[in-house]
Amino acid sequence: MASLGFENVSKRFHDGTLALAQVDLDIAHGEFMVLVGPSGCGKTTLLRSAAGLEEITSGEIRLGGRVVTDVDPSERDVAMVFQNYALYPHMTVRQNLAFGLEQRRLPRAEIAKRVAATASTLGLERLLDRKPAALSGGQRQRVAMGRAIVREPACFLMDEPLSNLDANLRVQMRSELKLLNAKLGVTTLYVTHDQVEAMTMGDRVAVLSPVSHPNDHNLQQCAPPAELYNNPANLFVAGFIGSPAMNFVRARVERGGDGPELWISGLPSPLRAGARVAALRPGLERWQGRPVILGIRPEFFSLVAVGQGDLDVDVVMIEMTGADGYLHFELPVAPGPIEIGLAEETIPHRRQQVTARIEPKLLPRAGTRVRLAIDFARTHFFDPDAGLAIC
Amino acid sequence: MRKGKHLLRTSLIYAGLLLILLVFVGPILWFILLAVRPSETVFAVPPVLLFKPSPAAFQATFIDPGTNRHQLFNSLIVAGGAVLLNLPFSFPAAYALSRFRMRGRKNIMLWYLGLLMAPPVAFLIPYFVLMSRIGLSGTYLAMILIMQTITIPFSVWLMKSFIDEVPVELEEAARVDGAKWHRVIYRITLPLVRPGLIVTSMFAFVFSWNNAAFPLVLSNQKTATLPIGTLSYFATAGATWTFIGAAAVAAMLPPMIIFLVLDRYVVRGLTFGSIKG
Amino acid sequence: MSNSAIEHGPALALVASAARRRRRLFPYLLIAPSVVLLVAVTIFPLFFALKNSFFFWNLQMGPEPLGFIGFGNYQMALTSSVFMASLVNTLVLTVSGTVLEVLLGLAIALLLCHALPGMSVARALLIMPTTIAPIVVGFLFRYMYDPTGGLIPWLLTAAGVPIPKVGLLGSGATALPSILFADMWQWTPFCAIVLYAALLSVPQHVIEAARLDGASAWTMLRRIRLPLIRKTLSFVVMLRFMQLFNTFDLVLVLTRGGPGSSTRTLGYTLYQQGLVDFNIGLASAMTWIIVIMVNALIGLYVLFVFKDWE
Repeated sequence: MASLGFENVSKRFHDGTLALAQVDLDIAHGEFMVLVGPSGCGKTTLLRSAAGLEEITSGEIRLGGRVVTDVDPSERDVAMVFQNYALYPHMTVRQNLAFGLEQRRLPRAEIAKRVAATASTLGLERLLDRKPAALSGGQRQRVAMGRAIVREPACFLMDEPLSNLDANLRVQMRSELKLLNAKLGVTTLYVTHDQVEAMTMGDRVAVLSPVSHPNDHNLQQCAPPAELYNNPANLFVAGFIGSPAMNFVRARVERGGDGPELWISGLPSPLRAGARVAALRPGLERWQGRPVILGIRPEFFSLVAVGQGDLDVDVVMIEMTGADGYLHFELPVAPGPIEIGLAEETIPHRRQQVTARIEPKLLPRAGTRVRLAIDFARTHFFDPDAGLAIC
Repeated sequence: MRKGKHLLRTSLIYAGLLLILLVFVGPILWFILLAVRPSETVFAVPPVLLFKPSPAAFQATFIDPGTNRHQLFNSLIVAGGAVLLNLPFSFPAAYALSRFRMRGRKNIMLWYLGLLMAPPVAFLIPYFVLMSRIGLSGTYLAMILIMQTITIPFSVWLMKSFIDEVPVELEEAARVDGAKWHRVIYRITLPLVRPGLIVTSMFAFVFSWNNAAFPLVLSNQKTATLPIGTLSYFATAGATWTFIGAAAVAAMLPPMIIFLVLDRYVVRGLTFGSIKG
Repeated sequence: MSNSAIEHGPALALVASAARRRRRLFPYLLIAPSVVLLVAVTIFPLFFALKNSFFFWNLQMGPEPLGFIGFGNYQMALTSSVFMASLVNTLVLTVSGTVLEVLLGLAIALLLCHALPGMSVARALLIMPTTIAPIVVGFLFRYMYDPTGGLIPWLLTAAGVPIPKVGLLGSGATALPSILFADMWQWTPFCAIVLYAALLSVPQHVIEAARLDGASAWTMLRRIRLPLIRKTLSFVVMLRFMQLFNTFDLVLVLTRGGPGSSTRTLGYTLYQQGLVDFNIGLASAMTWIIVIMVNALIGLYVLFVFKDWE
C-alpha cells in the first residue's frame, strides 16, 4: 500500500495533441481518488501513465515515495482494471487470476491460496473453470477485479470498470466496490466520465478538463465530493458536477438599497439578492456595474405565492421522476456565448432554458404562470471571462 | 539511460529489417537487371553490378522477332477470361453463404478450400485426355475452364467476407420498400461490394496469370502463355538468359504492380478474409 | 370471411409450405452453378481417371485403353522405386518446408509488429516474392544457382562454404535442399504477412494486462500471443503443407527430377508418367493414390484442428 503522486506531469502525443499539462496530484495511502471529466480531458491518459502504459513528456510520477517515471509497467507493482476487462480469452478464470502471480514466481501453494481467497471474496468460486466467453458481463467484471486484487499490489488503477454494465448492475457494483475498498484499504485511482459515480464513490474527486496549450492545467479542482458540490472553484466544475446541471444566467451587478441587485437583460426589474449575500460574497464588491454569471442549482428555486419571491415565470414543461419534480421555464438572454466549459453553447435565439426542482405534488401545469423564489445565499457567482468563482 | 536502450533496440530492428529486405527483394532486383544486361555480364565472376543497360533482350523477345509477344497476349486472354467466367459463378455462391444460415455451411466452405489444396496435376491428366477427345485440347476455353478450380473457391471465400461487411439492414430496408430480391442485389448489394469485386477479380487474375501447370499441358504453340514460352529457351543449347529475363520480367510485373496497388487488401485476401485468431 | 379461411385453409397451407420450401432451397440454388462447374471440371475427370486406372493404356501405343488389368497399375505404382522415392522426397520437402517457413515467418512477423516508421513499406515490399509465378521463381533460382557464374555459388564460396563441382542442382545431396530454399524464399514472406495480421488482431488491452501482470517477452509470446493466433497458425500450416505437397513448377524448371531421383516429387512423377511417357493407366492409378493420401491428410487435420469453428 502506498501513495501515488504526479508532479508537474505533461504529455504530448506523437501527432502533436496535448493530453496532459502541468498536472499536480497527490493521492494518499489507501485513498479512493476519482478522476472525472468529459472525453478528451486526459483522465485515462493520466491513469495509463501511472501504470506505465503511456510515457510522459515531462514531470515525475511517484509510487510509495519511489520515482517510477521510467520504470517498466511490469515492475511497478500496480494492478489495472480495464474498461473492457481485457481478460485472457483462452484461459480459465482460475488461470486468469493466477497468471500475474505466476509471473512473480510465487510458490504454487501461495498462488492457490490467494486465488481461492479472492474467488470467495468476489463470489467467483463456481466459475473458476470457465473461460471468459462463458461468463456474463457482470461476472467478467468481477474476474477483472479479482485479477487486480489477487496480486495485492501497491495501488489499484481502474479505467471506467463499470461503464459496460447495465444500469442496475452498475449501481450494485458501485457499492460493492466501495465496500471492497474499505475492507482492503488499497490506494485506488479510479477514472469515470459519470459524475454521479464520482460523487458517490470518491474520497476525493479530481475534475479534469481538456487542454490545448502547455500553460493550461487539466486539473480544475480536487476536493471531497461535498466540497465540489457546494463550493465549485470555477464554471467548469460547477457545470459538470450535479445533475440536473446548474443553471447559468448572465447578470449585471449593481449596488442596491439593501444588497446587490442583479440585472438580467430582458427582465424589467432586477433580482434583489439581499444583504446577506453581500456579507457571504465580499468579492462581489469589485464587480459593481459589470456582468457576472449566476450559478443557480435547480434546488435553489422554490415555489411561492403571488406577492412573494423573486421571479414570475411561464412554465414551459414539467418532468416528474417519482421522487423529484422539475419545472422548466425560460429566461431572456443577451446575445453572445455563455461558456460553460463543457461545450460552447452559443444561444442563437434570445431565450434560455432554466430548470427548477419542485416537490412533485406542488408541480404546476405547463403553460401556467407561477412565482419562484431564489435562494441567493447559496447562489454561486462566476467571473464570465476566467470562469473562476467569486467569493 | 532508457533512451539508450531504446536506441539500441530500434537499430537492431532496422538492421534485421534491412537484412530481410535484402534477402527477399534483392534477388528480384537482380533478376530484373538480367533482362537489361549485355550478355557477357550474365555470368561474370565476380558479378557485375554496374553496366550500361541495353533493351536488346526486350527488343528480341517482344518486338523483333517478338517470339514472346504473342504469348503475352495469350496470358492476358487466359487470365482475363478466367476472371470473367469466375464472377457469375462465385458471386451467387458467396452471397448465399454470407446471407443465409444454411445447414452444412461450414462443410461447404471447407470443401471449396479442400479443392484449392488438391494437387492440380492430379486432375490435369484425365482432364487433358478428356479435352483431347472432345477436341478442345490447346484451346483457350479448356485452360479457362480448369482455372476455375483455383479461382472459384478463392473468390467465394474472399467475396463472402466482403459481402459480410455490407449490413443486412440495408437490404432489408430495400425489401420493405418493395424491391424484389434480385433488384435488391443489383441496386444495393452490388454497388456496395464493388471494391470487393475488384479486389477479388484482381487476385483471381494474378493466380490465373501465374499458373504454369495448366497451360503447360493444355496449350499448344498458338495458345501458349508467357511462362511456357520462356521454358522453350532452356531447350536450346546455351540458354539465352537475357531473353529469359525479359520474358520473365514481363510475366512478373503485372501481378507485382497489382499487389502493390492493392496493398491494403492484400492481407485480407491472403487470410481468406474470415480466419481470425 | 371466416368461412373462406376454413374452405381455403388446406390449400393456403399447401401454397405456403411450397413457398417456404422454395425459400429454404434458394441459397442452395445460388451455390449450385459453381458447384456444378467445379464438379464437372474436377470430379468428373477424377472418376474418368478411376476407370482408366484399371486398364493398361499408353497413348503412345494407341488411342484406346488396351486391356483390363484390375489393380495391376496400383501394384506397379506402389512397388516402383521411383514412386516411392517421390513419396519420400515429397514428404521430406513438405514437412521441412512447412516447419521452416512457418517458424521463420513467425520470427519475421514478430519483427514487423514493432510499429516503427517504414514498417508498412517493408511489409508491402515483402509481398513481392509471393506474387511471382512459381515457375518464374524457378527461372530466377536456376539463374542464381548456375555453377558457372550464379550469384549464390559466388556468395557461398566467398563465405568459405564448399560447393559440389557439378553445381548445387547437380549434386544429389544439395539438389533437394536447393529446391527447398527456393520455395522458402517465395513463401516465407507470405507466412510472415499472414501471421503478422493475426498478431495484430490480438487485443491491445490483453497485451497491456499481461505486461502489468509482469509477463516477460518470452512468456508474452508463448502464453498470450501464440495461443490467441492458434486458428490462423493452423490455417497457415495446413495451407503450406498442402501447397508444398504439390510442388511441381520448381522441380520442372530446376532439376527435372534429377540428379537421379533425388528431387522427384509426387507431382512431377505424375506429370512424367502421364504427360511425358503417356502411360495414362499407370498415371491414373498414381493419381488416385495421391488423391486418397491428400484427402486423408486434410481430413485428419481438419478433424483435429477445425472442429469448433464458425
